Amino acid sequence: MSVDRDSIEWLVQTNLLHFQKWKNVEVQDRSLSWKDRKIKLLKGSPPQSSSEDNLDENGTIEEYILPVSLSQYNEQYLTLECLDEVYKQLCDPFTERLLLAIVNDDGTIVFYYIYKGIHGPGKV
Amino acid sequence: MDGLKQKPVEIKVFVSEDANEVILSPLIFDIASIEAIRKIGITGTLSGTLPLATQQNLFLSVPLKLMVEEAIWLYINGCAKFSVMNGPISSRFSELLDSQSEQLEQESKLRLQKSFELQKKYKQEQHILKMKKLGIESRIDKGASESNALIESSLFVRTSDTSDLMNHFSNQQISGKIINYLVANYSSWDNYLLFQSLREQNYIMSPGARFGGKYIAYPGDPLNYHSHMTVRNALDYYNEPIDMLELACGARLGTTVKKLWVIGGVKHGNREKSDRTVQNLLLNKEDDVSFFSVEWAGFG
Amino acid sequence: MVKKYSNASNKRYVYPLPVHPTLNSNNPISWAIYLYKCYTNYESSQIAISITKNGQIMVTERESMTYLWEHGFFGTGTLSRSEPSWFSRTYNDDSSTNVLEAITERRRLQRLEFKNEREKITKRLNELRKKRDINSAEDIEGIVKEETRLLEIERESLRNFKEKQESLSASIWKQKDAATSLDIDLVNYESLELMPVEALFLSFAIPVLNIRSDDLLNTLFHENANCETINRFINKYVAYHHYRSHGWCVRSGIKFGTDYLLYKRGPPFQHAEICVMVIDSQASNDYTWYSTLSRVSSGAKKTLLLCYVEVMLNNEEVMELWQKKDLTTIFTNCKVGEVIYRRWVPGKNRD
Repeated sequence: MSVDRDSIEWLVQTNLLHFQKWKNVEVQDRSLSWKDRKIKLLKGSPPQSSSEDNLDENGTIEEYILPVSLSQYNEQYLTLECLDEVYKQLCDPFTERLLLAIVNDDGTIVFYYIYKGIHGPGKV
Repeated sequence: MDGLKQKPVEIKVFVSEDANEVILSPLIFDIASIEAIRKIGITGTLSGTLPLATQQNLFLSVPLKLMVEEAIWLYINGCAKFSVMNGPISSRFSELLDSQSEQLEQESKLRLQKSFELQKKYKQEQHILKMKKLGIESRIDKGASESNALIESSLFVRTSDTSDLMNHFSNQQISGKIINYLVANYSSWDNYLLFQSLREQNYIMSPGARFGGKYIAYPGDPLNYHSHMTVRNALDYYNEPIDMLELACGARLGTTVKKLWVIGGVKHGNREKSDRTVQNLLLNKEDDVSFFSVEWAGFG
Repeated sequence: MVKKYSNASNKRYVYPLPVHPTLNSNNPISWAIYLYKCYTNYESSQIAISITKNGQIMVTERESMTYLWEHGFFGTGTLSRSEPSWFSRTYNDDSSTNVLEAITERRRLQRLEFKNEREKITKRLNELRKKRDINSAEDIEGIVKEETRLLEIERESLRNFKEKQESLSASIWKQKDAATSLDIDLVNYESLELMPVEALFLSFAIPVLNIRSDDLLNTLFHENANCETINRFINKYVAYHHYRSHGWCVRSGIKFGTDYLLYKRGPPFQHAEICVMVIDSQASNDYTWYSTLSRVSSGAKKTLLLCYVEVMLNNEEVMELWQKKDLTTIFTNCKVGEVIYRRWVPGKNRD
């Protein structure tokens, strides 16, 4: 599927594939209408973990990626309700976490994991 | 906790004021009380010093200062009563309470009611769990009304119409007025509900301002455990967007001190007041508080 | 300190901003050259930008990207940490970083393979040892033989591993040569993205972009953009312009949860010393907000600077001037004040 080169989905996809060296990053078809936006997730696999000790056996971890844009002046839109809806409507049930990709207006994209519910660091 | 319910601890309220308002600090002086509430997960912060002790910032003594949420939680669970400490303006505070009591009461009444509903729901769930453990699932339905009644009677509930309540209040001891004041003026009610929800999940909270949050949550007694999470002030679940810059800050902060950044908010809107019955609460599987934990992904 | 910087860096980043003053006041001919240069500069070196639907401002020509980076460190490469280096990282053979990265990666995988094998052997050995404790004397001989065999295998794999690691770098260099000698159509996925305030600075203060400041703002902002949005943008721009005109290199501070980072000269020369948070002079935040910011900044050994911007006009006046795109009047009616915020611990800050 070709992705609109103007979209934040494309920026996140390109960044993950060509900068962070992720694999199989694709934009998902399902979308969620939220206020006046359409929210779409991406799915992909991280490169092998940099710490050699906690490599996964089969090495096929797939993560959902939620792109959001952040500009210096525009208002933000991601509420708790919105996050709950994203989990409900766009993810497989039992999805534990999302990779939040914040697309800034300064050319950078920063990544954070968002776990549903309370999650201690020990369980990671 | 049952022992405490029979013999509630005494929380002394120290009254002070600054330019804008009267400030209440909930304090506990009695060491046995401090021990008792620590056993049920309320730790407070020791704050007593001696003017000439050089190590005063490290070794503090009684009184134990409570977060407002801790004081409210103790009171709502029937483990504490309030009294006013004598001080320069404590008498003026009583007048203030009297003059504002009507308004304070209105504000806090709604909030307290909400909490009773939550309490009921929680206890009911606990009850069912307990019954399951004992292997008497089948009888729950039959005995439902009976056990409901039992739960009701175990709650700290004031069920009265308004005028009745007014009467009740005007005759009530200082405890009621103080809790009203605390509820109405200090804690955002949503923050309290976050506190309560975390407490029910066996986390122990301490003030988080030093770490850039509302609470720091420990998985057990802070003396035995490192804290897992920095909990942010409650967000408005429906209308307050998560500030991405702040999230970046919070998560980055967490990485260096091995804590997750936790955001939460309260879902009020999905339940009309009229259907806040115990049955409906049970049918509705959604939690009232929604949490998310954020962590830096390690790249980008 | 200055001597530490390589000559190459000093030479490459000789101009702090995209202006080349050649004016010598004693020599009238230089005035003519200067005027000519101004004129031709204006005509010829206009830097092309494109603005996405999402409001992102992109520079895609490689020369322009390099020019903006070298003249004041404007913009960020979308696939790089800061300088747009993706293309050379990926294709260029005179940059060895890519090759080095590849070697590290291969080495890592080899090491992993070796470790796994060794683990298997160790496990087997342990099992054998346990057996030896239990079994009778006859069996022991067989077990000892097996052990010796395993130890031999282990030694062998260690030898292999070492050889592989040594031959690796040589083979990768060869592969690299082969790849670059092939005539592939090289795609550049990277653009240089400018922050809106940078784009305004480069069209309003130092006009080098091929867009006029009013057109830029009309593209970035909806016609019915609300007052709050516009005020927020004005605040950020005023702060940006303020530090740029005081000679600082200003870059985005998003990674530290703040608005800007200030560099004395630029990212290749030293780390940023200061995190700037731009605050409307009317706004107030609760204590935890400041404390979070300050913790993050001090965690990165940076000073937190709160930059208060006060617009001396009321909202109607601002909106009216904004509609007319009279930016000069708006900006000259702004005041900037600064406060350094630092956590102070009585036990630790005794000196």
